[in-house]
Amino acid sequence: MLAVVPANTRSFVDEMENFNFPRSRSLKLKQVMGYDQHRIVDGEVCSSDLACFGMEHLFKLGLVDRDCIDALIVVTQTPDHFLPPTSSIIHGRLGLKQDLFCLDITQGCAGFVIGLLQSFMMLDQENVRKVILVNVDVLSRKISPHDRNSYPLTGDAASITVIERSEDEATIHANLKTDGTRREALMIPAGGFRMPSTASTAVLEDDGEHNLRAKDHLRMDGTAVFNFVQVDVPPLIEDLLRTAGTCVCDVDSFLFHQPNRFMLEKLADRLNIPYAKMPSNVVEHYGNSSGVTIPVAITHNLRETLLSSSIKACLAGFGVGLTWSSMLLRLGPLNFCDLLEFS
Amino acid sequence: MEKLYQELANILEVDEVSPDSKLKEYDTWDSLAALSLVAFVRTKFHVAITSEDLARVRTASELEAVVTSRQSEALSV
Repeated sequence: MLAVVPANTRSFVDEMENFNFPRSRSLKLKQVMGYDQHRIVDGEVCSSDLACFGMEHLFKLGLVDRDCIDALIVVTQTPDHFLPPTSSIIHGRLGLKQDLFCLDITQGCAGFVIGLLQSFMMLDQENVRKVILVNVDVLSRKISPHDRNSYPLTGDAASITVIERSEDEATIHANLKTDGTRREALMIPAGGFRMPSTASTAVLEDDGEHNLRAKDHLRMDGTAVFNFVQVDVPPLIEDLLRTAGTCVCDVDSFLFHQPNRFMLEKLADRLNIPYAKMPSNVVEHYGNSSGVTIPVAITHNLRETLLSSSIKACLAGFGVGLTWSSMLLRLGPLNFCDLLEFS
Repeated sequence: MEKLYQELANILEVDEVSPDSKLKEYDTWDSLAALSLVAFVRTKFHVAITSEDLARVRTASELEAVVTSRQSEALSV
């Protein structure tokens, strides 16, 4: 597993002047939510740029053979273009073989778990032996710098996970839920066919709470998302552990999507998970990169452990859709586990 | 409900909040204050208050009424 983050680091304190709030309130937000640094792409950097940079690194180190990839799954909400698919763009730029299944999946915060589920289904096909799962988002390009609700927590990143069938037949448990009636809790209203981008959708508007954003920008109903995570995610995890016949104390690590430290600690409290078993430090170092936060949490926190041994891990992703999904699996030992800076 | 008023004062960074206090008139009432309040109510009273509730309520006593009605809804289910 490889995570790629932009080298460009921004700090919350430097960006506070962009927000239309008193300095003391922004500093309190920093303290409560755990905001500090985040990684943002420069200018025109696109999803395929981060993904190809990571893939070339793996080719160069001999960790992946360009000709031995049978499927390429790209999970992103920030495609280079409406069409062609970003997986085709990556395929072409890397010069991969034609006998290869390319698939784009539009998913956000649940995107790593969903990408794994899709990869496992592909590996059920006899002639699919190696799947490359790319999770990538450059959502900072769709967030208003004057939106204190969303901008300080965002981060751009990519991850590449190489998935192969193993000899041992360890069972992997997973569950997945969707509620499209709450689809507007996280949304970019304009830019698709329902509301094409025009000069008027680019105009910054005050949301009534001093945040300035345009219809072209991401908007998040923070209260709705908080309630969703507190109400719907705990039963998902409890069901997963019950089905697998295990409990919180038997799981080594809870590797959850990283919205911010505040929400993760509330979730840990609700599930009686000790904080030491649940990393919540991704947002303060890198920002929330939606579907890429779990690989960033893994490569940042568990690199040494996973290169030499295996752990029983519970993964969970939850967000846009709304979609929420969890998975219980044995993770490691990994052939590689690294975090690379893109520049 | 005394705890609710104490926490409101804490969140709004004032000494005391009375039932008639208008939440939106405090300089410290912002999205962070709102989220802190939602989290407190969920942890202490085990009910959800929504962004629609927060848009509607004007005073601390109206907030208290929302929490109380959510609690009785939860009990009657």
